[in-house]
Amino acid sequence: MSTPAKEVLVDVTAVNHFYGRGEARKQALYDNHLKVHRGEIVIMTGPSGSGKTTLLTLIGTLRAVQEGSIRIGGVELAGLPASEQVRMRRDIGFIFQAHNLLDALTARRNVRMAIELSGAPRSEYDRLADEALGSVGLSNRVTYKPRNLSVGQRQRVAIARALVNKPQIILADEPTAALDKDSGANVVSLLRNLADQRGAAVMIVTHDNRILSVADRIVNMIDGRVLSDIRVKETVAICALLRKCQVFINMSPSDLTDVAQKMSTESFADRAKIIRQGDVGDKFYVIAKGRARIIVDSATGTRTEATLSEGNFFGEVALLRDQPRNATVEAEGDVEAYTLSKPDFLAAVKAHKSFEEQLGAQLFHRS
Amino acid sequence: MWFIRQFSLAWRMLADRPARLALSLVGVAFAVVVMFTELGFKNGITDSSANFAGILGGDLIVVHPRQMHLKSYVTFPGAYLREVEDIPGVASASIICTGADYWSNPQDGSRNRVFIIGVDPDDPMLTVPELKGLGRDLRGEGTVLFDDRVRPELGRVSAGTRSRVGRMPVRVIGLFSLGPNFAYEGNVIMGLDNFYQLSPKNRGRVGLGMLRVAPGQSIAAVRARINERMAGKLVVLTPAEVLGRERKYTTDHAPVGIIFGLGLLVGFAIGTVVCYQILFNEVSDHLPQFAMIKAIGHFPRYLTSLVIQESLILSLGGYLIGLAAGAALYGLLQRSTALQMDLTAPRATLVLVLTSGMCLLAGFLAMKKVHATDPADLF
Repeated sequence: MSTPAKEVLVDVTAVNHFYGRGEARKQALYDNHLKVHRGEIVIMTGPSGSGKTTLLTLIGTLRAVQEGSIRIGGVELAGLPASEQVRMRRDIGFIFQAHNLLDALTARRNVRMAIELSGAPRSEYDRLADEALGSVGLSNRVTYKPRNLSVGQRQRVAIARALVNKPQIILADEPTAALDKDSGANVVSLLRNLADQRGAAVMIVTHDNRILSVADRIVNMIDGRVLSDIRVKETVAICALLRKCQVFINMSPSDLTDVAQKMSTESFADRAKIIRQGDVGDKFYVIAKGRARIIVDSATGTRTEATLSEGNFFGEVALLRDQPRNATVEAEGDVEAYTLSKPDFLAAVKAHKSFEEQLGAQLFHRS
Repeated sequence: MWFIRQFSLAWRMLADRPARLALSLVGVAFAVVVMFTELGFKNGITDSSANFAGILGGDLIVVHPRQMHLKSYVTFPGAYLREVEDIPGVASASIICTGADYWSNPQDGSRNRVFIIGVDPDDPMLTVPELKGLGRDLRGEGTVLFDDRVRPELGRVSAGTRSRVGRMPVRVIGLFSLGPNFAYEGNVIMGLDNFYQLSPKNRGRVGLGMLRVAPGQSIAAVRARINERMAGKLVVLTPAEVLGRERKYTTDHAPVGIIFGLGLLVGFAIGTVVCYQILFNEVSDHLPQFAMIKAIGHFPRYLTSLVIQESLILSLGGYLIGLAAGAALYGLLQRSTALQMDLTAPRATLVLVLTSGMCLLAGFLAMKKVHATDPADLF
């Protein structure tokens, strides 16, 4: 099946949201669906007014859900009483564009404002605060007030405050906007570590192209709708493999990305039948890892036609000619394959002349 | 614990800008001083106006039913008092008659109105210590006791000074201490014979009938008996009731009492506005920070108590400064006006309560803004 199922921490289903009342009522979100898994960093992009911030504030329980459902770690936010909403926020780390530190308090006391909500013993407050500040490289600034810190340092204090209670969900709004390249990179790697090591789900609203590479997924929103939801890491990996395949060799990088984005990852155990001869063809396969045998049953008996390895593809004939599968493909050892559904495959063939030509050439070559 | 922690946060937020805090405290202190001043005048006038009532001795006092206060000069026939004297339980009675006339300044001859208290030299029934030794001397023609807490306009007076009250030549045989009020510049005590000579129309009449109850007799029982016998002719009061009546009359009816009472309200209103301005600015500057406090999961009541504590700190700090300034001002006013300006504990407490009240009121007004902030706007 597709990527190993990870726990869904944020589950947005059919969410509509409106601002204003009566005549002035204006819809900001239209039927939004989004799942964020444990350990995932999702970057949300889109022009201002596209609804990404609205969606983020809904997930952060800073606004009440009007229509649809949002589940945070299994808790339904729709219809949650106000006091419970406030409690929910304690389990979410907020990083705001404006750091909004209390300017009367030292860095340590600012972080303590969040610790006070955690139920940690009072004697631990200072130690926890200093530890969090240490993790953002501010060990030697704990007694500084915000006005004596640089913009980047203030932002890091705010991040320490957001992370000190080890939240499972982190919502960040332009966390790098006010930062120079290096500070921005620091913040991003900090968030990456949180996702990787603590399994936190991180959602970042940003326009900063420099940090897109940290994302597992990039969600693009326009006019209150999720326009695309790209699994960046996976797409990059698929592209890297596809680029080595003969069949995709002449495809431009952007075309390749288009195809890769539509592909899913599937795993098969040893001797599993990936496709069966005579079945209706519904997918196109590229082997990402492992080997597979092509087995053909005919009047003369069963024989293994060929062995496929990493970078080889199969399953295209049934799709192109609208015929049943002409052979069985069986995994030889564990196999991981990228798959493309029939409509996506046919669309890609149609759209990319070079793909069609290459397919033709490869087919000719193979037979 | 929670309260102290938050108190320290409220304090840190205020103390973060020392110059602004100082200015705010001065603003609150100003309102406190205004309230102290108004209250001081109000009480000074009331106390001073009622000062004569404060020196009345005896156990019971009988007055004409229409005499609502001590400056109305309504008198009753001396025969009534003799009737009262015969009532069982009444040990002795003494007449006090009051009036007003002009005192001539012995140095420059200028004339000022003084309050004249005519007493029975044998048994004056006034709580004036000087009368103990000098009472009998008041029988001499034109002998008076003069008030030494008067304003300087009345001249330098000591025992032996000769001057005039109205057209009557008088000789000061001693001094006592009472003090002026808004109606009179000073007070003079004289024997009844001298008083009737000065004011012949009062001859044989009584302003205040001072009574002493026989030892072992219940004052209430005697009072009831007098009430029964003299119903419609006289009213019986205790000295404390006369004082209370006098103070209440000044507060309620004399325009000065009302004016300064209003002044106190105005001071409170000014203070509330000043406090509101201070807190409003304080809150406005911190709005995004307050929103952040909400966003990270603090309940709205956390902010409510934060703002309340800020306002309490302001009121307490401002009050202490205002109290010091008020005390200094009272001393100054007492010296310059000779009015009684006492900074008593109940009065200081009243201003403290008013100050806290105005800061809390301002705090609640400013709070609306705090609770209107939407943490969602932070994104």
